[in-house]
Amino acid sequence: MRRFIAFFEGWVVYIVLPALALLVTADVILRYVLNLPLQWGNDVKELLLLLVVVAGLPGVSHDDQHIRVGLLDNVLPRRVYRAWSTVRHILTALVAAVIAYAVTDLAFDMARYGDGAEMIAIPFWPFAAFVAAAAALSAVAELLRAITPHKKPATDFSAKDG
Amino acid sequence: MEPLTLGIIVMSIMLIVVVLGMPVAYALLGAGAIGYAILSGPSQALTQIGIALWDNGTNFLFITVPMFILMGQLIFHAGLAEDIFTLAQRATRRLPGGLGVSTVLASAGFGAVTGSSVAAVATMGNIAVPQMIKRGYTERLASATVASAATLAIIIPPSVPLVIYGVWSETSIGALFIAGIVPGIILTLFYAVTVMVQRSQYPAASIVAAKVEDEHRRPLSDLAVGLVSIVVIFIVVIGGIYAGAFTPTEASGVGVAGVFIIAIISRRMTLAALRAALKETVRTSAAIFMILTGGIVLSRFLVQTRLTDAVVGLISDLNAPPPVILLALAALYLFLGAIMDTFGMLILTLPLVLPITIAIGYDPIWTGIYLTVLMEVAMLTPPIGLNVFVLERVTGIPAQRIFAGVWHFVAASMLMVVLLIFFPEIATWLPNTMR
Repeated sequence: MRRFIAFFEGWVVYIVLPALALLVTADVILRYVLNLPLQWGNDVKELLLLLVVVAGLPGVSHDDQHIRVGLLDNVLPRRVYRAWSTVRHILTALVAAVIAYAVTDLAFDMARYGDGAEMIAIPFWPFAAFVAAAAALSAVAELLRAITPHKKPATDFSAKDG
Repeated sequence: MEPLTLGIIVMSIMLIVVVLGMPVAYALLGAGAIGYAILSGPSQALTQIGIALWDNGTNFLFITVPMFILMGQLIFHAGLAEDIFTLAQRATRRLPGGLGVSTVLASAGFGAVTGSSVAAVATMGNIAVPQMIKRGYTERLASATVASAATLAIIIPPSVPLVIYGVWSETSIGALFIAGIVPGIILTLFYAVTVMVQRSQYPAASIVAAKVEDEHRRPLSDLAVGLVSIVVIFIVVIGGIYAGAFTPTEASGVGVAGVFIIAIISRRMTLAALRAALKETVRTSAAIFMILTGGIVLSRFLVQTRLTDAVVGLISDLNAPPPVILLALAALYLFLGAIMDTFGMLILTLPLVLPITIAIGYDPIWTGIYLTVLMEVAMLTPPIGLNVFVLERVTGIPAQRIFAGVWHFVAASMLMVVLLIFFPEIATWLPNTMR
């Protein structure tokens, strides 16, 4: 699972995010220096952004990095903590599964109606399908966490940015 | 069931599962979806989830979030902050508490090119805390100074929380950034004074000054790379926004490119560091995106139930003077900050708090700054105090000891809150001068 998630987010981490940064910068230079704005620039940037913000979801779930209140983690007795931890991962998996279902529905609608970008011929449905896949993978990662033995967390702040 | 009753029940259940430890994003989104399903049917709930994810995920303004996070990560991994700290040490070495003051100044400088206080505390924790302790500062003051000063990163632009607030409230992100400058400078001064007045916690300035001069013999030109690059990037990014030359999204791209080029030219960027920065950016962006989306689904549901209107009406009926309402809100945030993460707190409360502050006559830009200062306090107060725990992890100093020292800085931040309430121009003056 870890390898699969690493692959899933890896191409976004090493290709899509740098491409987005490059495109945003290049567009500024082309617009202000050469007066040659990319007509399709905003459409592509928005779709790349979508990939960037959802690709990390399975990894965040897998490594339990979601922003949450850990107030009771060190208060609950170990057995109660384990039981609640299982329940919360299952609840989170359920919500992630609902998201996957909702966005799959959206992807089918987009494919049916031929929705796409305005200034460049890019269909929307593969991007919606990617979001659905990310949510589905998150649900699986949460379920895996629910059934694996729980340790009380060493606080991880990597995804909790302020 | 009455929509208002449903809204209250859904909010209550959501708060309970959040406090129990369910991820805030999924609690918000799940509660909103269940509420919608009961109110308008399951298909409407699914439609709302799909639309919220798509609209937010392709929101042009949100590009600034991964870009500013990446900018902070690149600076963090390139070690540019170390140069600023060393320069600040030299400049302040003869002041009482000069090393602490230099930590505050370096944190403010770091904050001027990143929007993340976690990156700031992790960076300055590694650099400043060992130096301060080595030169006779108490662990308590050294750690509290770093944990507190790092919060300056979210008020001094660029700021990730201000972007989130701007996206959520449809307020100009550029104006929010500019509005953060004056409060950021005032808070920097407050924190510097807070260090200086704690005389029993640090040695005499002359002793420290001699050590600084002994140990830092790197030429000034060598150190200037960090300072000059940060000043140039700040002027280009924030100056560009202020002058109307760039949108915040464009400015974020220029900032990333600038930091990357500087890191490469100064040979501070390794492939491993770049990979870590990119991966961390994707993960953090995902967590923030989900919480924002969950908050939007829930707040749209609350609007349908008219719970927001009811709460605003209730507050208005109290006929309390606006400063009293704002101080009550500050107390509420202090409480919420004690049990919740800052982003969760912001998104969770905005549907109710923003209409209240607008109803009592405060500008949404002002509200963004006011809430950000309160978020700074929340990052320091127990038991959640995010910055304190990050610093504990970085330095190994027990959280209890850090918490014991941050109260002076919390008092300084609360003074800023009071100043903002009675002199809102502190936040609104500069954005009003924008083109």
